Amino acid sequence: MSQLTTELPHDGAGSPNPAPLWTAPAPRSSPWTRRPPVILVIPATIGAALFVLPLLGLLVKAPWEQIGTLLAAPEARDALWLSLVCSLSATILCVLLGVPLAWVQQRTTLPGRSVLRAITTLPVVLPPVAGGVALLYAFGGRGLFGWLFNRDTGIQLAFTTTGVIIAETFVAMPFMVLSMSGALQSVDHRIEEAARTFGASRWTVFWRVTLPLVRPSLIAGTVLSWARALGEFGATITFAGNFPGRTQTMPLAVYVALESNSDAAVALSLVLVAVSLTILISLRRQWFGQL
Amino acid sequence: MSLRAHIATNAGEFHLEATITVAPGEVVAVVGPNGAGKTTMLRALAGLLPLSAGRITLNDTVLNDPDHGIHVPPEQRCIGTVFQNLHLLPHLSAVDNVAFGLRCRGLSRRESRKRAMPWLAMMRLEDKADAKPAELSGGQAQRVALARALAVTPDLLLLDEPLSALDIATRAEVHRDLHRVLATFPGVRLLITHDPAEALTLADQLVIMEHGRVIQTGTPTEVTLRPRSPYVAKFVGVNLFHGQAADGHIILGDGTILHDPAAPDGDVFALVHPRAVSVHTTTPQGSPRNVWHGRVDSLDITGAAARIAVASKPPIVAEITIAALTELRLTLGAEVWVSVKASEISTYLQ
Repeated sequence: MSQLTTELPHDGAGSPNPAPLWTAPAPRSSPWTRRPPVILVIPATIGAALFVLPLLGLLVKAPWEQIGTLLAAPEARDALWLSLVCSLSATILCVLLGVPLAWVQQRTTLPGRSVLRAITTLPVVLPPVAGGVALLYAFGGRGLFGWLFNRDTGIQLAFTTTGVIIAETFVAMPFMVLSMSGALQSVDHRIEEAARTFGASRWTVFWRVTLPLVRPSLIAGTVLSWARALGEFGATITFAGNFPGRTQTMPLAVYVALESNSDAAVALSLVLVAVSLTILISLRRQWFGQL
Repeated sequence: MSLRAHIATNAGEFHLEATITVAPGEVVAVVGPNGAGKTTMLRALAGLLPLSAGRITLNDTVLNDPDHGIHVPPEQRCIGTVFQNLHLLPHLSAVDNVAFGLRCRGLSRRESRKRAMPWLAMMRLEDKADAKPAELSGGQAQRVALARALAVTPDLLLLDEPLSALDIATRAEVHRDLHRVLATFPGVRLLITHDPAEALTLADQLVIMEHGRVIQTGTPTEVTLRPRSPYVAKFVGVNLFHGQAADGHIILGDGTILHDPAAPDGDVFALVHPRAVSVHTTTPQGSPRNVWHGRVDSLDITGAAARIAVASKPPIVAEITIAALTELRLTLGAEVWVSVKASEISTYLQ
C-alpha cells in the first residue's frame, strides 16, 4: 500500500478532478467575492475587533516616553531576566525530554503508549491552575515525591525558581511532543530501516537520519514550547508562588503591576506582545501546518 | 562466499517459508509475482524481520537461528542492499549517501567521503557528488543506491527490483552497470525481480516463489524448458497445460484432451511454445490433431512478431509473424482455429 502512495502523482497530471468536458457558463463574477452576505460579515467583524481592539488599546495607552525607565525598574528587570532564564531552561528541558518522549510514543511498541500519549498532551487542554495544583501535590513540600526528594537532597522544588522551570516545562512540553509526534509519524520508516542495514544503530539512525528529517518540526516545537513557557501564569503562580526576583516572571509581574503601576503593566505586556508576534510571524507556516 | 538460508517468518497475516542457497560464484535471482514474499525474504535476510524458525548462514557466520536465540541486528550484518524504492537519505548529498555506511563504521567525515568517491566514479557520478537525491534523475539515484550498497564492501549484495522504477532508456543504461557490478562483485549476489529479462540475463540460478513458498529452482535454461507452474510459464512466455496423461492422451482439468504420443503416463505438464501454435481462419486440414477453436482475445506486437491470446478451451497464446498477421486479417474478437502438432508438445512429469 505504501508503495502505491509513493507512486501516486502529487499534483498536475492524473489529478482526481480532471476538467469536465462540458462546463456550465461561469457566472460573470462570483457573488461570494463581490458582496459577502451580511450575516457572515457582521460576526466576522465583531470577532476581528475582539483581537484588534485590545492590541490597539495597548498601543494607544502605552507610556511610550517612559517605557525605557519602566522596563529598567528593578522589579521589571528582575521579571524580564527571570522569565528569560526560566523559559529558556524550560525549553531546553522540553527538547531533551519531549523529543525522546515523542520518539518512544511513535517508534516503540511499548504497552500503554496511547494512555501515555493522552497524559502527555493533557496540559494543552488542562487549565494551568489545575496543573499547578497537581504539581504541588506531586512535587510540593508535602507532595507525593516532593518530600522524598526534599528529604534525600535537601532541595525544595515548590515556590522556588526551579519550581517555575518545572511548571513551565509541564505546560510547554506537550507542544513539543505533539509537534514531534506528527513529524515522526510522517517520516518514512523504511528510510530509517534502510539506514540500519548500512550499519547504523538505532541511536545513529535517530541522530543522523530521523532528527535531520524532522528538523523543521523540531524548530517549530522548540519555539512553540518557548512561547508557551514564556507566557505561563496559572501553573507557575500556583506551584511556585509570586516572589519578586525568585518566581515572579513577566506575566505575574504584569498581573501585580496592574494593581499598583498600570503603566509598568502596559510596558511589560507590550514586551510580551512583541515577542509573541515575532514568534507567530516567524512560524506562520508550521503553526498552521501542525496545530 | 555462500549463503544458506532457511527462512520461516510472518509479516502480518503473511507467512513465508522458503529455503534459498547461493553457491560461491553464483548470481541467484528470486522471482515471483507481487505478494509472493520476495521483499519479506529480503527483509528477513537484512535482519529487519525476525525469523519464527529456520536459520540464515552467510559464509560461516550464523545471522539468524531463533532456536538458539540468535538474531544479528541489521547494522551488524555485512550486507549491502539496493532497496526497491532506493530509500536514499533525502537530507544527504550523493557522496554522503554513499559514505553513510562508512561513517557508521566509525570513519571521519573526510575519510568516508574520500573512500566513497571512487564508488561514485565507478558509476560515472563524480560530478553529482554534491547533489541531493531530489536533484538526481531516476537512473542517477539508482546508481547512487548501487554505489552505496557496494561502498560498505559487503559479503552479501541484495538487489530488490533494481531496474523496475526506471524508464526503458534508463533501464538499458543501468542494466549495463548492474551487469558489470554483478560480474565483478566478489561476495554473494542475490537479485529480486519480477522482470523476466532481468532474471534471465543477470542470474545463474532462479528461485521462483509464489504465495510465500519456493515453487521451482533451476538455471534459466532448466526453468525455461521445464516450467512447473502457470506463473513460471507466463514468466518465460510459454503455454503450459496441466493434466493426467495415459497412452499418449493428456486429459486437462477442463476435460480437453491433448495428443502427445511421447507423453509419459501420470500427472504431467505439457509445454507448447507460442511459435509452435498455428493460427487459421478456417478449420485446419491435414495432420495436426490438437485443434482449438476460439476468438482472438488480445493482440500484442513486439518487433516482427505478434502474440495472440486466443480465448479457447483451454486458452492458448500463439506467436506469428507480422506478415502472417496481416495475411490472416486478424482483429480482436475474430473467430480462429489454432493447431499444435503433437511433436511440438513437450510433456514431462510434474
